[in-house]
Amino acid sequence: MPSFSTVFAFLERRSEEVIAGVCVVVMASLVFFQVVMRYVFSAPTSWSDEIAVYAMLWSVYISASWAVRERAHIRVMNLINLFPGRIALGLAVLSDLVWFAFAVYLTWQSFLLHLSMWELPFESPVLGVAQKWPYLCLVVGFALMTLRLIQVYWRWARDGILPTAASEDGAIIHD
Amino acid sequence: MIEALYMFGALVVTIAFGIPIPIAVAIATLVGYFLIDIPVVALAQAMYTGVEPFPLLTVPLFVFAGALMERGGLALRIVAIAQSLIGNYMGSLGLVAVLGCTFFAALSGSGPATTAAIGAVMIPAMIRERYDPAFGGAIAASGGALGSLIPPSNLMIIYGVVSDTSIPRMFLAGVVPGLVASALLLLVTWLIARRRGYGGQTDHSFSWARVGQACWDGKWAIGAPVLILGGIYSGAFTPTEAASVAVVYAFVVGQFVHRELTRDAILSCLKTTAMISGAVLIIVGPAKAFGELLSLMDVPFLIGEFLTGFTDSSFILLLVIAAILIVTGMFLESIAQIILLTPLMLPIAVSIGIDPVVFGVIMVIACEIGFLTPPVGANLFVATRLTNLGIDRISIAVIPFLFTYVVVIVLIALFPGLALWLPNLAFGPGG
Repeated sequence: MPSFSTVFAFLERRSEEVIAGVCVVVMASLVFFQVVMRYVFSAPTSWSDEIAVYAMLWSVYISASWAVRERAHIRVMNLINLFPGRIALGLAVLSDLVWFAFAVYLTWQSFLLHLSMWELPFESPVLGVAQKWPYLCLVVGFALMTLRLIQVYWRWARDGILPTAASEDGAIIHD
Repeated sequence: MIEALYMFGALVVTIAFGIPIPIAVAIATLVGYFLIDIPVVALAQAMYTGVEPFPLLTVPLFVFAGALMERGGLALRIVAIAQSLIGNYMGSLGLVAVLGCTFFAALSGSGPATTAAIGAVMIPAMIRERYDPAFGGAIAASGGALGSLIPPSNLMIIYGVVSDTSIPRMFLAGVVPGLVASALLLLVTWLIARRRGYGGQTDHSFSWARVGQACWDGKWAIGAPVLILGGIYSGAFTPTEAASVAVVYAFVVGQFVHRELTRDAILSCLKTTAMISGAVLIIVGPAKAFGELLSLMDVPFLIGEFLTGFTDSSFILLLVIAAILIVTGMFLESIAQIILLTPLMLPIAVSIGIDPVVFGVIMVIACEIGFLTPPVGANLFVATRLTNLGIDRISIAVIPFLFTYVVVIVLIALFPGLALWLPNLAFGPGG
């Protein structure tokens, strides 16, 4: 029986990548499934498209939080790095603070949007899925992003190492 | 108009001070919302609806397929084919790298991924033959940019979604410019290699038997573009479906035919794909809100008025637009560039009689130049990592190659038929 802290450590490290990875597999399989249904069974489906899009939305907003942990978000640090060390650090912290404030604000706004969908239900035309559930990806994604930002600084305070604020490396294999 | 200037100001300041680009776009949009009193919940709404279009799925699926093809041994076989085709010339390894990128571009929809796939094999090989590492890195970076011009192309998919242009049409429009760019890159590589006396001592002289053997060994790699593009143009699949077929094909070939895909390799491909969704596709939502707000403020019209005030010539105007796109492309990540600037610039281009397909090809090439210029040149970062050089060395070595792309833009502006000929042949003019 793994202890609570190992379970928590695993969730902290892996939960976003597992969810996002599963979403990618779901996207690829559902779109392929539709091709197979059409050509092999001559029975085109329409529900698979809709689910595949939900999977894409969740993978995007969940990985956006994961990308905070990995410092993979694309940012331009060249100007900041022109300043002498302490000022550069100060500016990097300032930009993270603005980002943090924005993430909190957007979590709140997406929560309001989600709440409004309880009052005015809104369903998808094909499957009749209540849209408040897929829209929850915004609330969850931005809330996790907020927590990840806090975590970066909490670790800084604890370990004294700021996980390189200047990660242009994140721009590596994107398009 | 003054509100729009505040928005641009907020965008420039936030990007310059290191706010991640998607967040910066969202903040600039918020500024606009506050100024003209739009409820902020509209931003949350746009962040959802922006990622909702079904064709957008094509992007992560092609990224996934490309990663699986690289790890599943298809890239190596592509290089072997390119190697067999190029005999024993001065700079033959450099030529092999460019040709390898050209072929891999037909499997992959991404410039940086093509650089990574071919560069990982060819850069060490070039360094072994005592090429300047920076030159090797520059070849891989600039050849890799073909990945976005030769179909399939993630950038063209994004452009198709944003501008409502047919994606199969866009794909075909990239073929001739892609081959022209490839030919020019080969020429530049050969000229530089000859002047510096690289290579030419290998024992691989050309023989048809060798070509045949390499093609046979690489038959599954050749099969991928046949299946993907053949499927799209025969009408069997939509581009999105073709991307899912590519994923399954790459998986089956890598796993069961080449037996090179380990479980770890598959997991790492999944991670790469998911990370790209989070770090890159997240721009789509805020950029949509930003673009709609600017259209609401009539900004595209005002910019158009401003630009047409200078000149009546559509050729010069197209070059001016291309120059603007090249400059902004240096500072914006490519997908962000397409989503932000298409709604601003396309109406101007259309109003002076430029076909949206031609405009799209020029936009994509401008993004490729952005791949090759600091501070956010993705291909440069990949090449930097593969050569262990500083980004400054490669940025300088890449300059001659970068100009080939500028030449291609000028050629297309002069002869739009370069881009339009193939799609018009396949689908008939217009539409």
